[in-house]
Amino acid sequence: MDPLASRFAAIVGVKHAITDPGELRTYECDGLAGFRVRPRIVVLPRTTAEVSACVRLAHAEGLSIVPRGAGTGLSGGALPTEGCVVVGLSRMKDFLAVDLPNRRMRVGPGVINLDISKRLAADGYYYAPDPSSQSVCSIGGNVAENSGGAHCLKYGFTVNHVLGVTMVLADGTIVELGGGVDPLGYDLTGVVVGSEGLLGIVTEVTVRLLRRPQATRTIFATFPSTDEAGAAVSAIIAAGIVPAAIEMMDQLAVEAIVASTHVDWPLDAGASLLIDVDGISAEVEYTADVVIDLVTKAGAIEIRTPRDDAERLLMWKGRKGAFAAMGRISPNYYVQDGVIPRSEIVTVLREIARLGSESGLRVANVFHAGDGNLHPLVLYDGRIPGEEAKAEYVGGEILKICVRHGGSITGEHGVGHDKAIYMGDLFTDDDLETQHFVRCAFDPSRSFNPGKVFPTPRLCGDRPGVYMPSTSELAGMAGRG
Amino acid sequence: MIDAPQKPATIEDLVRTIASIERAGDACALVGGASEIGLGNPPARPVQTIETKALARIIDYAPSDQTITVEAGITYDALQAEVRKNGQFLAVDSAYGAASIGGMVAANTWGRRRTKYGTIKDLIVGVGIVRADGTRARGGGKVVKNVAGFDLPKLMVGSLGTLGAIAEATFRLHPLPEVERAVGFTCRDHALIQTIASELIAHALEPSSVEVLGQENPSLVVRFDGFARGVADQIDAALAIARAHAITVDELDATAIGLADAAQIRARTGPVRLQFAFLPSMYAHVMNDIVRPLLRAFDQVRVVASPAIAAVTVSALDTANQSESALIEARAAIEAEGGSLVIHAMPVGIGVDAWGTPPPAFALMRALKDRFDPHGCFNPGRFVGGL
Repeated sequence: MDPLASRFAAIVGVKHAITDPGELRTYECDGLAGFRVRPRIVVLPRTTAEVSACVRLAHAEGLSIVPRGAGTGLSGGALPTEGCVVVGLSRMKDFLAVDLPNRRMRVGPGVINLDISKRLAADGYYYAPDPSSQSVCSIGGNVAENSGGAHCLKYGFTVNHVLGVTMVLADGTIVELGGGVDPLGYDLTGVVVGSEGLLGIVTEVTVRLLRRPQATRTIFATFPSTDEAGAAVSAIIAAGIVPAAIEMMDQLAVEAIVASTHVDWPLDAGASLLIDVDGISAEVEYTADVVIDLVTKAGAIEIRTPRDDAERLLMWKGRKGAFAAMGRISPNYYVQDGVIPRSEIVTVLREIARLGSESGLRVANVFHAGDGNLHPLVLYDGRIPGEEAKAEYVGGEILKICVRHGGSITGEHGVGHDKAIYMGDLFTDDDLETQHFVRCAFDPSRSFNPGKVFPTPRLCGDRPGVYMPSTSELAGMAGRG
Repeated sequence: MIDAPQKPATIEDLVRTIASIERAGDACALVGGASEIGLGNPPARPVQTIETKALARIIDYAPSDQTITVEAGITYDALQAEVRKNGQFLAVDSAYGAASIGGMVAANTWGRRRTKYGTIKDLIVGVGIVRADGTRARGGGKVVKNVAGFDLPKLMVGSLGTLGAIAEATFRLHPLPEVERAVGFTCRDHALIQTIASELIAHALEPSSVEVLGQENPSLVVRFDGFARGVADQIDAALAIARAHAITVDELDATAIGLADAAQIRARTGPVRLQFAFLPSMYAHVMNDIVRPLLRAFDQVRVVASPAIAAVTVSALDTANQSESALIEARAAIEAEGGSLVIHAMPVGIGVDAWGTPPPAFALMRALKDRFDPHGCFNPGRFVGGL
């Protein structure tokens, strides 16, 4: 073991300081498997103190630090950089405190998203954000990415459900952010959620718990094309209903889902919607009836409601397994995560279809229609020379379409490594410089996750200009009372 | 050199105004409807007032997307009137209709419906600021779901304008509920109120607000909004909870004057206004042991409490006996329970910090302030810990 590895091993134990090339392979990429970089070392700390000691050592040695949760991210946020130390949080999976009277829970970052709700099921509480990967992704990763999911249309994103965090900064300092009720000062928790591992390493998370709604009704409807399905979505929203989820799948997506999960959805429909309404029992009965009426009027071919919970879960399993299901119909696929204003869905889907046919690649669509978060899946065969590059090109063009229609380049997967080059399409240099202020305030050495999010490297040096005293100095001179 | 209030007519004007103030080494404060003008400590040095009233344009309203982008000076009433035409509303309360949206973002203003809809943090999706160096910058976007870049919109909420001038913002809107109905419980004490508030949750009800008026014989007012059938069901469930505790409960006229009182207390009745925040499980303890003793120190006191949000607003017409020491004592007590006591308005001469003990991550807040506003141009000294 090299001397540096020995020093990390002294902190986390020999078994949890990984330098063996074979073992390192696991950590070369995250869910965006097309990019791979071998880290110098991977450490798997067990406590906040160990994280702090590892970060302090890495900082002293001038090593870049890449935090890693469960490695399920789809934007390369946990992709190592050359010569970095990867800090994996998977061993920090303790349930630290449950506080049902205040509907909050404190957990380690390695706790799996779905395990929180499982643990609380008997008490009638749950954790709302439900990314499709929720049975394998970790809360720490969710915090980094501000993960969404199918049900954020009604319930919001990770940021709306995280009340505070414990974080290790680049110099090893341990800080508590938020945590109380209406914490004083700037909303640091709000800015740390979604910061993609650039500001520090989150080692404990306080999450908000919700009471399970009285009732949930699920409606599955098929349509001749995405045009009618899009019109149905608009009609539901216009009726003043806030469904828990409205998911759209096109024909190709349904074909893949049926092949992988055996849910008995028709293969010939141009588009399908999977809708959840939840809340007060009497209200849910009413809104479900209204939704069925509206989708009928919008031109639905067939409407199904699950017979029981088992069928409902199967439908959702189908939807949540959609990305993985693509393997049934294509050797490779490239996932996009663009957002558009909901009212532009029909137009943008047509543009995407045209882009696909022009490029000769198939594009499957499965997405959160209620909030305009598209997940076009560009299908390709990596064995055919040039197809991967073509798929990436099509993916990039899709993002540009989203930006042109007033949307965003990512709704829930994050910018990471993958989409950093598109940040300039969405933000001006001044916008990016302002975001960079936040990074410099937290991590002036830019040790954490370099090369992610920001399209071009920026320093945290003092800005040029005439010297003027800082606020702190002025405050000192002016006094206060 | 401080002049009469500047009144920029456009955001470009605002940029020029701020840039020239910073160049001169002066400081400034943006003022909208002045509803939260008393919040925070006195400025550490003289500030040039910039009135945002004329920055009142609706930049983009997309009813079918349920989003709206506005200039910061637009009033709460003007925004709501516009979106109401399409059966929508911005799901945050202000009892002061002339409050500017920018001011509400800066102060993180909230009202009773926070119980169901959250705060501005849950509604804001984009922000445009003017930095101290006169640079315009945007964060977030115009779509409700977006994780590109750091969340500048959330950073601006509750920042009291100390990081940048909030020039425009984009919000998610909600459909107006079909109905809202209210029930009033007569409760003998705060312990019972706490029990009932937690039973509402245990029954998976979704009240739009849960408010307590009065201190000695407190009455609990619970409202539900949504589609008529769901609301009727919830009213029945609330009545059943009251029967189980053998207490009187009546349906109230949801628009009655008595109910509007709570909002008035939260808005700006009188020169004294305090806000407590704490954990819901502490409600009865806070009301009996921290709020009650404090009331003697003020004149003509009114209290509105929100057991579901776990916040209490106290307003009064004046200070009375030993107000200063009573405030210090109450703050120490609430901070010991992990809560806070923020002074939103107080007559001059009471030398108690508006915010209380700075949070443990204060050094990071200082670092942010120094990056965004290195020369202390915006609202110097008014915010937490003298930021």
